[in-house]
Amino acid sequence: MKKFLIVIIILFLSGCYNYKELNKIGIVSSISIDKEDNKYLVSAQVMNVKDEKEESSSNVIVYEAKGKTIEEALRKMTTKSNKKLYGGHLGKLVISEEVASEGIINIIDLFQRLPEIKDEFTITVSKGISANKVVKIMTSSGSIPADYVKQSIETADLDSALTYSSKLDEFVSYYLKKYIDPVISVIKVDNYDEKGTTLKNNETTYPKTKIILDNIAITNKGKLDKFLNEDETIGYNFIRNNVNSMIIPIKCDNEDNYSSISVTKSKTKTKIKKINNKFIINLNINSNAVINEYNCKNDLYEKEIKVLTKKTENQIKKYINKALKVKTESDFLGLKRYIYLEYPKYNNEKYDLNIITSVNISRKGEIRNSSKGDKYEH
Amino acid sequence: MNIENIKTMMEYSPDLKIRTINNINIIFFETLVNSDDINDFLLKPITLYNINSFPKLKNKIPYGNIKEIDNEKDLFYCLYSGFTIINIEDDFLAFETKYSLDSGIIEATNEKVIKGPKDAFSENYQNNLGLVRKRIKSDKLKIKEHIIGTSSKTKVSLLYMEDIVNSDLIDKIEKKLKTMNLDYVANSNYIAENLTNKSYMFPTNLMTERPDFVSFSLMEGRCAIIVENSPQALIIPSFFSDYIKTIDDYYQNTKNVSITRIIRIIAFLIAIITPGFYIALTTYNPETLPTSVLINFSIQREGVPFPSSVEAILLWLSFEILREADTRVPFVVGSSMSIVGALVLGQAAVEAGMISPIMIIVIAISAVASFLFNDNDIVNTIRIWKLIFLILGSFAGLYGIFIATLLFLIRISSINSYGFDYTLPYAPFNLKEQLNNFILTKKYKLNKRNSFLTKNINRR
Repeated sequence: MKKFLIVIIILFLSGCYNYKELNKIGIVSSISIDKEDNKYLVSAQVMNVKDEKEESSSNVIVYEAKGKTIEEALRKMTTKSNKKLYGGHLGKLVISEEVASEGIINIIDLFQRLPEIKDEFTITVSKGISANKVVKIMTSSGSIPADYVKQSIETADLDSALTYSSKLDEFVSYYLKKYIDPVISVIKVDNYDEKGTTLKNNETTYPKTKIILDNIAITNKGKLDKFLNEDETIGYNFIRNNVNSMIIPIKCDNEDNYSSISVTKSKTKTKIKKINNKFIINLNINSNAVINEYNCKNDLYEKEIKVLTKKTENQIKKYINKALKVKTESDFLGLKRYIYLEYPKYNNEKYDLNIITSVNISRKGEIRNSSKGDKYEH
Repeated sequence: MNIENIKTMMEYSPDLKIRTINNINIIFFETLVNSDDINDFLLKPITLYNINSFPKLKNKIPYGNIKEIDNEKDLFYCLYSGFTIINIEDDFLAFETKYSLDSGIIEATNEKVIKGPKDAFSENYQNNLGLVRKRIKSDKLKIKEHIIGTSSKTKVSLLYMEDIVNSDLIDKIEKKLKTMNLDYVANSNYIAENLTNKSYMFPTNLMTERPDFVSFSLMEGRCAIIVENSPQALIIPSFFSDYIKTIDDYYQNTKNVSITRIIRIIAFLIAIITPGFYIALTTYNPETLPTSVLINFSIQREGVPFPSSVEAILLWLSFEILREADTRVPFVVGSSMSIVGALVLGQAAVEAGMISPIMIIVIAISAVASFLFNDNDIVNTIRIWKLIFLILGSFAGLYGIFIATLLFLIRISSINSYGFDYTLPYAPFNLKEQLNNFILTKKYKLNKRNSFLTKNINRR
């Protein structure tokens, strides 16, 4: 009996620490940070938990508050919402261009310190539009806008190498490491319009106002430095070994047509050598590819495939060279880090870079679903 | 010890009959005896051969089970057991003319079987022993009989295989049976509870109504106790791992049984943990859930007036009430009860917004999972542990679930089942025994016995 009493007392003494009911918390799905009149303007996109019957209401609500610091603004939001804001499921952080060029790392620092927040949200910069407008836009019905963006960044990262999904933990670790700087994803808004924030935005098959992904932006010392274009981003992904699958268009000989080489697998290996006190980086890029779309007049014989392979290899080199030529102080490519990891005494000396690309276009082809072919026989 | 004495002692026994032929008194309880037997085998020879002396009676009457009686204690015991007593002058002789007051050998009702024998123990003690005897035709099968209960005088027999069983176990149980001081033995559970000093929530013996299971267990090196008037036999000792096994397993394809057993252990975990785990995740650690799941849950919680833990306990309680009612009501009323319970309570509670649908799913799956175990004791134990997990989870979140898990492990591993560790063969871990644990191998089924129960492990 005594034991039982002690257990009961201990249970009640805990006071249900950290207890929260699901219907009393507002799940924050994304946060945007702007600056207006020297004050931070913070917007939080909160999931609107609703019954299935109320179809007319939006699935997210945006709360806005201004403050001298970001945290002050976040606290001020409690005066506008009946639910306690809960950041455990934050999916996306949107920072406006202006705030980002003043410094991203202090914002990231705050978000790392807030206890509830997971380290898995995507950090994005809004290009050419204020960040709070991005979080207000309705995406296709049934989806949470923050999830929509997060997923599309991840899909694009996997399927096209046109962007790179940068998570909080990676951002911080790259920032703290020597000779490497983090990059962040960029999002834009197509045709911003007030209508885009209403449910009407989804009434057409082709919504006018849309959130779209841009390429990546590079940072220097925790601040936004420069936006990269498409080719530079692809080059960046090839150097950092981030390419999963992508399409490389190749121009035909003496024609205006293009064929597309679909890279199915790509691996970048880096080898460091030191010859006569000079560092040499060998960048070995091995890609497997298939030809899916072929628009040239020449028939695809062995010889033609060899030409295509050569062209693809050159094209990858071109991408990489473009990334290398970006004028910046930032070490976003992390090439120096490769040397530093091999030779810890390395001190910012010059180095040579050899790029070796080898593409292996799969030549083995078979026609599956051959029954389909019967229809086209003459 | 004379006839007048018996008459006075039996003043309030209207069913006691004393028939006198010449100088012979025939004494019996008409409620306990088979009167055909008395007519055919006692009265006929007595009148036919004109029996009038004790030696004649003893030699002339063709009868199987005869007992000479020399004291009053024996006389009453025989009388109450359905014997007919014949008295000539000062000599008494008892003839067994028992009429079997039982339902006969029927099908097992509580332990269902798909393949395998369907006969079950009944209230008839002799039949029960016979059902085991006819399965093990060996002189190694020993039956030690005790009579327990100062008033009830119940026959309790201990069955074991002499060459297989651990002799320490038999000594221990024999000693307990000899010193057992009971007034009345209502069912075999009375014996089971008096065999152990400590009582645990988990059952340390298996109660079964299936003779095939008893004989199988005897061959495994366990011992069994069969109690008069009780259709349940006790199998001693039992381990936690026995509850994920059934006797049916050995009658089916071994490979398929392995999957069934894995499902059973998953069901056990689901039954115990789910409600507590759900409460802990949603009220303390929502960051561990995927966003879409969390949103789904919070949509369902919208508008529910109670905190989740109260909601869970209320639902758990109403389910247990429903279950208890369902076991008590007669079979005919049962179906209308489940309609009221399932449809009216469940659906109406959700539609009234009192309880979230997800909570019904959680409680229901955990309840259904607990019914995989046909031993009523283990189902009740699961029920208690479910509540402990639920309470700790709703007071301290995942931390509480962790504490409850620890508590569970401590409790279960501190159980002593007649000198064996209850958690065998998991702890202490026995690699060879795992072949008849989560998985069942053909080799184990046919060639080997449990090595922790017996030293004689080779079946052939």
